[in-house]
Amino acid sequence: MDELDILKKHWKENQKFPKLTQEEIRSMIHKKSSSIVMWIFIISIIEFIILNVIGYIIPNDKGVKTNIPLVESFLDKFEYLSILTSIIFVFLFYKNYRKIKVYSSSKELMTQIIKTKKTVNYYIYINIAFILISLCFVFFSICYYEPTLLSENSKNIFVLIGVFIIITLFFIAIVWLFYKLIYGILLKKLTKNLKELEKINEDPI
Amino acid sequence: MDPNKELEFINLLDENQNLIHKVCRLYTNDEASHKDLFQEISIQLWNAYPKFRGDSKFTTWAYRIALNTAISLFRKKKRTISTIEFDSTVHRFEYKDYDYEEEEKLKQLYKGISNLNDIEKALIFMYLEDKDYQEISEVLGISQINARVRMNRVKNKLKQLLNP
Repeated sequence: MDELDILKKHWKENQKFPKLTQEEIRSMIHKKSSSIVMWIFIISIIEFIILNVIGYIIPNDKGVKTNIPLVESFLDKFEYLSILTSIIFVFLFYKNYRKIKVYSSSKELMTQIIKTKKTVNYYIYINIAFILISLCFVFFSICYYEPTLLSENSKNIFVLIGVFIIITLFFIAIVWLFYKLIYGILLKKLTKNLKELEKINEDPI
Repeated sequence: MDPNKELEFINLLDENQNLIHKVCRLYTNDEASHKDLFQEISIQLWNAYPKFRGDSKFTTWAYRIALNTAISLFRKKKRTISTIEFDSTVHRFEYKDYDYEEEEKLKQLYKGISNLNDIEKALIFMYLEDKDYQEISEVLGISQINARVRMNRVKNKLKQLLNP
């Protein structure tokens, strides 16, 4: 018997595959979330790498060194906290991705999509909170190091607060836009898939 | 999409599940990838179904979409993974019905197949599925002569693996 005939015979004899029910097929063809969640995970890693590489490339400006142990210690800890938070979220995104199983039921998938959406939103809120804390810290540092700004003219304090609020809003808007653009598109797709799955559950075969 | 059309598609896919499984078996090496590819092919078939006019058989059309999906994913994967190790255990092949010599030959052949390129794998798949050259040319979008020439090359390549 020819080798290829043996192969063909073996191929035909080994055709035992898991059989999916029609309901499983129906929910599977409406599932696109696995790859979307995978992209959320990949983007979070890219973002984490890029931001940390930038941190290493851009040298620390010695000019902003305060030489006050309390402030320096706060800055150091804040940086570690920020890195730690990013790592935790990368891990959570990975966990979300692994949990989305191809053959899982529509209900399980819906729960997972909602969970992923929540994780992404928390990630965005925490990053915005970090920006806010950093800017508040800069504001209070200015008040602390330049007390003359405040004492010479009482109007200065309002100008300073005004400038601070504008800068803060500007940064938050930029960060918000950045995340909404990157993750928002993926979240929108997840929501669309979620709606399709809800429809499937309402109208089973 | 029209619910009747959806039901029609689900019935067709249900009847032809093994077709997708077989493509997955040839293009993946572990269960998780097999399931992922199975889902991806099913979604691609579903997305393309509105364009299926019934000019060709459903199976011919499904073979084309399934192989195209597997090939495009295989190419993406190849950029990151240079070689794929063949592991007979994950393929769930049963060798018990074969004698030792045949078993060895089969292992070598499957190993050889796992190292073929995407198009060569598709050709071997069509051969194993007993497809004639007309259907092969329809599925792969090449002429019958070209299919015949390429098929002979792949067969010889595999035979040479066993008889170097």
